[in-house]
Amino acid sequence: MKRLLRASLVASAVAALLASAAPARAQTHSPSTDWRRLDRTESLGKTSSTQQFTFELRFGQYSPEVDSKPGLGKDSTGHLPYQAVFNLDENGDALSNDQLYIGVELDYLPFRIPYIGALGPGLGWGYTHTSALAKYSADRTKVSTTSTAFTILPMHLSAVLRFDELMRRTGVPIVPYGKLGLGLGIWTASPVPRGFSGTGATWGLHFAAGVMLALNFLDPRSSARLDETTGVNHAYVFGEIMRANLNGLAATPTYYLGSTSWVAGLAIDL
Amino acid sequence: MLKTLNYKTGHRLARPWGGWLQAAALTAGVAAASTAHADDDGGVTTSVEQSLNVSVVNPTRNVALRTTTPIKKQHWISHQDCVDDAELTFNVTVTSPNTSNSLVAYVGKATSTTSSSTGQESCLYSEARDKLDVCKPLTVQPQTSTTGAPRIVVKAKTLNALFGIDSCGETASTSNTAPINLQFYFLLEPDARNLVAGTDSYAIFSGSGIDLWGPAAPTGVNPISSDESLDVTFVDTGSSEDIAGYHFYIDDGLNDGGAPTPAPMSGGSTSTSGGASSTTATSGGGGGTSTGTGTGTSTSVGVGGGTSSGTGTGGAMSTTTGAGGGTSTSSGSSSTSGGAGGVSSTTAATGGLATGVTGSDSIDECNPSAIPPACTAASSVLFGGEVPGEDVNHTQDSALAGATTGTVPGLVNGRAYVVAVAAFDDVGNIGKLSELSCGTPQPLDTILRVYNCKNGLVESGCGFCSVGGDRGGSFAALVSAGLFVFGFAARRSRRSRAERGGR
Repeated sequence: MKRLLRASLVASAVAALLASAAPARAQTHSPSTDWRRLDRTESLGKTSSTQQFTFELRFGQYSPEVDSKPGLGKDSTGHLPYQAVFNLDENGDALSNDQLYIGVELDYLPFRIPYIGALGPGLGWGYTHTSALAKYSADRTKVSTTSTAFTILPMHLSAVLRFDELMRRTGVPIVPYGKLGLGLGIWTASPVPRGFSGTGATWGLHFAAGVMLALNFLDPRSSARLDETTGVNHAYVFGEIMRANLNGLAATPTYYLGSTSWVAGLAIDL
Repeated sequence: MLKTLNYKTGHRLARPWGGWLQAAALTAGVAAASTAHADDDGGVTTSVEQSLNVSVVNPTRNVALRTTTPIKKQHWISHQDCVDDAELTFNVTVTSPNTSNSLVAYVGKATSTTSSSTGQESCLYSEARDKLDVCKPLTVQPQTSTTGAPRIVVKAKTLNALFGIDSCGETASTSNTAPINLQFYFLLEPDARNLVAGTDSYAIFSGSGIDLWGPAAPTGVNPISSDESLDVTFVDTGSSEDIAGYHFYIDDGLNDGGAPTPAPMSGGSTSTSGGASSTTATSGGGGGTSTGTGTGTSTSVGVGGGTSSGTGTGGAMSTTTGAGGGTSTSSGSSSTSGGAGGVSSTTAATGGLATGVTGSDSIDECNPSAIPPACTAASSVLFGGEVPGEDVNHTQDSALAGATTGTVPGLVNGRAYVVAVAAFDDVGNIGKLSELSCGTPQPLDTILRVYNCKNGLVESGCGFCSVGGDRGGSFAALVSAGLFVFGFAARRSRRSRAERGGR
C-alpha cells in the first residue's frame, strides 16, 4: 500500500511536469511567421520581479526511528515495540518501516550572497501517520478490533541556502540547496490507556540537502506571464535528502521521532 | 408533581403573513367573512365571520427531560411527562367574535384524511366529531380576567385515558411501541360543519402526541474485549420508528450493596472459575447471590449484603448479613468456583463472575497470563427484557440512531462486566434492556502500552528537550523563535532596500 502511494506521488509529479511542458511544445510548433522571440530568458532575467520567498509542497518517505531509542526491550519474537505493533505481517515477519510523509515549507530568503545564492530562514511542517489493529497482549496471534495509531508532525526552523547564482548567471536551471536548523517532532498516539499521555514532543536537529530543477525553460513566455501576474518567479521540481535527527538533543525523550528520508515535491519562488 | 408544558405557537389568521408562528405545527383555516359555499350536505351555508387566533402562552417549557440533541417532539408527552402529569395548555383567542358561536375543541389521532367522504376521521367533519371514539371533546375554560383568553388545559394522564391508555402505559402491551400522533382542533360551533381548508375558520395544532413506550430491545449484544473498554455490537430489531440512540449499561458489581472497593468479589451469580486467594484482603463486598462453592481459607467478618447460598469452603462464611463481605486474612485456593464474596487484593478468582473481579486491578498488563475465560452474564441490577430503573447508570458514550456498535470506555482490564443495551426514542423514553451479556476488557498491544512495557516511556534530561503534551511549551517556543527570526530578517531586508533606495 505504501509503495502504491509512493508510486502515485511520483506519477503525479511526472504528470504535472508533462502538463507544464505541453504548452511549451505547442509553442515550439508555432507558425514560423511569429516574429516574437521564443527564448527570452535573458531579458526575463533582467525584468523579473523580486524574489524573496520559496514555498515547497513535499512528499516522501519517513522511517520513524522510534525503535532506535537505547534501552528498549524486545518482545518474545525479538521485535522492538514500533516494529512489533505496526510493521509485522500476518506471519509475524518484519515489514518495512517506511511511512508516507507529506509536508509544506516556507522559506524567506532576504539575503543574497554574491556569486553563491540566497539565504534566509525556513519553517517546515510535515505529517506522517501509521496505524494497525492491536493484538491481544495475552495472545498475540489474535487481533482485536481496536486500532492503534501513531502520528508524527516533524517540523523545523532552519537556515536555508539556495545556490541559485548558477542559474541566474548561466541559465542552467539547477539550484542546489541546503538546510540546517532546529527540529521538533510532535507525536500523538492512540488509544491512550489510563495514566498515559497521548501526545508529546521531541526536539532535535534538522539537516537537508537537495537539488531543484527550474521548469521555466519549458515555457519561458508563460513563465514570464506568470511572474507578471502572480509574482511567481520560478517553478521547480526538487529532490532532497532530509535528516530529521529528532532524538531529544542532549536529553532522552519519550520517543525518538527522527528519520533519514528522501523527499520530492514542487516548489515556487515568490 | 404537575408540570406545565408551555408553547409559543400560533397563527394569526387575520394576518397570514404574521411572523410569530410555527406553520408546520399549526394549520388554520382562513377567515372568509360573508362568503357562501356549498357544504357537504349539498346545502348552502354562510362561512363563519370570525378569525381564529390560536396562541399558546407561557412560552417556556421545562425540557430537562429531553436530553436528546436536537430536541425533538418537545410538545409530546413522554413517559416521564406522564409520570409528572404534565399539562398542555392552549390559550385561544377568537377575534371578531360572533356571539352566536362558541369555541369548541377536540383531540383526535392525526389523520391525513381530507375528503369529506363517509368514514373520515378528521375532526373537521361533523360525522367524525359525532363519534366519541374518534374525536374527543375537550373542555374549554371560558375567558376570564386572569386568563385573558379561553383556555384548554389537558393533563397528560387525562389525555392518555381519552385514548384508552391506563395511567402512564405501564399496563400496555409490551409490543406497543408506536407513538400516537395527535391533532388538536379548535372550531366555532354551531357554524362549524364540514370545514373546508382555505375557506372556513378553524385551527389545528398537530405538534403533539403521546409516546409512553421506549423502543424495542436490541438483540445480539456482543461485548468485544478491548483495552480498558468494551466494543459492543448489537442488532436492532427495527420495529421502532423513532429510535434516537442507544444507551449502554454495565454492571461491575461494585455497587450491589455491601462494602465497596477495593476489588470486591461480591456476591454475584454462579461462578465458574477458580483461582487462588493468595493474600490478604481488605473489606468485604456483599451483594448478589452466590451459589458457587470453593475452597480456600479465609476468616471473615461479614460485611456486605445479599445472600449466599453457596457454602464454599472458602473459609469461614460470613455469619452475619450474608455473602460477600468478609475479610480474607489468609491464603487458600479456590478450586472451581468461588465462595461468596470476599475481597482479595490479588489474583483470587472467586465468587460472582458477573460482578466479581478476577484479579482485576493487579493484572500484569505487560504480560497477562491468558485471555480471561468467558464470564457469566448475571447481574443484580440489570435485568434483560425490563426497562432499566432510573437509578441504573448508563455510559455517557451512547451510540446514535442507526448504529450497530458502540464503545464503553473507562473500564478496568481484567474485570468482568455485565453489559446490556437499551434504545431510547425522540422523547427520551428508554426501551427495554437487551439480554445480558458479559465481557472482560483486557490489555492490547497498543503503541503506548507496548512501548511502556519495553521501557520506552523513560525520559531524562531537560524538559525543553523532551516534553509531554501536558507541558507543551515546545511548539509555542518554536513558533516564537520562527517569528523572531522572520521579523529580524524582514527588518534587515527593509533596511537594506531603504539604503539602496537612498543611494
